[in-house]
Amino acid sequence: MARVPFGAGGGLIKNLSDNSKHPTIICESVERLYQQGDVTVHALAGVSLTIECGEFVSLCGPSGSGKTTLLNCVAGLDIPTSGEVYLIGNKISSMSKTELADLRLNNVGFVFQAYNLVPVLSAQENVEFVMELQGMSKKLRGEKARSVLREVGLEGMEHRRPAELSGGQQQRVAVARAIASEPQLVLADEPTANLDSKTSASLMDIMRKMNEDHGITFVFSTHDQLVMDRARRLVRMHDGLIESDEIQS
Amino acid sequence: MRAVSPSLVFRLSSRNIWRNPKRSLFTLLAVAVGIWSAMALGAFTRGLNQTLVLKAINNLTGHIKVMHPDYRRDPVVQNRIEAAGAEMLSVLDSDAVKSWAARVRVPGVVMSERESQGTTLVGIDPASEVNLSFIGKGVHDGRMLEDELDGGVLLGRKMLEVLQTDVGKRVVLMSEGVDGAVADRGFRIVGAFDAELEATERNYVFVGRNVLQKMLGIGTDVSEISLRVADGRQDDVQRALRDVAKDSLVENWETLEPLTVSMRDVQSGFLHIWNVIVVIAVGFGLMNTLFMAIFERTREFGLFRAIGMRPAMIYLQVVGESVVLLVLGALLGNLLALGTIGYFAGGLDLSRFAQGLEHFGASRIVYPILRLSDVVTSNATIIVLALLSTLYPAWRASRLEPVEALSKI
Repeated sequence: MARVPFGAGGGLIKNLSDNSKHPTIICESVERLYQQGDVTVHALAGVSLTIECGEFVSLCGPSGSGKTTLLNCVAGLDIPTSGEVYLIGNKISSMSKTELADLRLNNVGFVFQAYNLVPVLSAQENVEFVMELQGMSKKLRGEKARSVLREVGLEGMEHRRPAELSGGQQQRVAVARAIASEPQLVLADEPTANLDSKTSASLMDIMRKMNEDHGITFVFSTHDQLVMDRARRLVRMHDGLIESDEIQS
Repeated sequence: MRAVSPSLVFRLSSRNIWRNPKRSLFTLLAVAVGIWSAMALGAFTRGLNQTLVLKAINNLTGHIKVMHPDYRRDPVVQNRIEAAGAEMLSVLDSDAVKSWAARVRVPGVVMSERESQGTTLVGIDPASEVNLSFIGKGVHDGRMLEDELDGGVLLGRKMLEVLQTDVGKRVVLMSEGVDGAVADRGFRIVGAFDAELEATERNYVFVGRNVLQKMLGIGTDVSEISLRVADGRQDDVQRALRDVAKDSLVENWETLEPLTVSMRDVQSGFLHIWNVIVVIAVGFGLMNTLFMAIFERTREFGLFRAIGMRPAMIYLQVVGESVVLLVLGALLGNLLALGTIGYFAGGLDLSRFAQGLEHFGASRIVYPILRLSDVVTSNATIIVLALLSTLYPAWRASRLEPVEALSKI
């Protein structure tokens, strides 16, 4: 899928031509074991998964099935006990923490269940946050932030702090923050868990539109049937393993 | 890519301070009170020390004294020196010396018609004492001695009470003459002097130098030469005097007034101890504030790490919060200190404690003295040490593992 940048400036897509040649995510026999006292917990028990550029994927399954652990391993936030993860063509196990941080900063957006906005920053400043870390000029990142906030339906609320926004609005700011820097991949951990069904549907529509309009790959974990219904690919997990992997119409 | 965005760090640091205004305000006040106390107490201690030193210098000591080598051990008439010769006068009359006086100073007894009291008889040339010692400032009642030939005597106000006598009446002064016999003579009390310390009013009786020399039979010899020197010239003058007065003892006030030096050092020591306590209290307070702030924002730091913020930027953000708090606290502390010192610029009256102060030679009124070096030292010490105490919390914040931090409730 071709990627279309946000806003008038565009131009922040990093080596897309090179990176587009690789699948966005490759997991090869990924295991993640935790020690809880004397008990060894297999959070991931050998997951193999490939996600191509531009996919819209839902990881679903009951609590403890390994969805969040898989997202963490994919993002390089957690280190697999065995197996390999390739993120946009980069072998995560051979990268330093700083290299991983830079890879995430420039290529991965995050949406969390609890929004995780910075309370002392306005909606626009939150959206600009990642771009500011990237060193983008104030003018350009302002244009992009306003453009994305408009796309997620928060025009006129740019200067509100998170505490002045509803849960749904905060999560839309979080989505805007995740996509504004035009990452190749957005990882969303239970993005609708704290939202009502109407707001959840609206948020999913926004993410789907971003996926379709801008070619951003979305991978989200969820329990929510509504979210599952909107995914084009549904990966079911159970006890740290992939139970099923199907394309939805 | 930019590893650190200074404007973002500053924005986050300055805004995060006001997330918990009460806590930040208390920390800010702790810093302000710390700096205020260090500066204000420092100024008052310096003022008190200066009064101690000035009183010691004014109290017939001067900056330097020349005397017989045995005079300090036994200040009797036998331990005397010759009047200043040409070589010594070349030093005493140089630009480095502000004023000097030769005195006869021997132990003696003063007797009125009712009482007698042991004291020190001091023969002076009144003109030489101006700008040198407290007696040069004149008398409270009666008149000052006119010259070294004046046959009158000056007694302290307290001495008049002890002897139950008054200005205009006669007293007898008695001491050991040069021949070992008792030397005595009657004097009319021509004036009474005031001193800040009652002890001073009892300890000295002033007469004309020439009159006392005659009474003791010592010709033109004197007990001591006392002098005041220009700022920063004390060591030079002392060296020069030692060169020309090889048979005499030439000592500075620090050697002659060890108690004053000890008191000054003790007070400075207490001030340093107080400053250490303040720095420790401020440092721990700040550290606690930051640990609480980091604990409350663990998820936020996890988010920052997850989205790719480098540890150095988180570190700078936390240190930046401390810097903002410290700078604001320092500004407030400096204003409070300058206000306090300004308010008491006319002198802090310690009359209520005067009796106690007398015992260690302090003045009843203390004038605070603030030096730029004290301002810089107080601020730098507290800011630097408090900042050091924030490095560990900042390091902890920067080392949070994103997965663990994000899972914190």
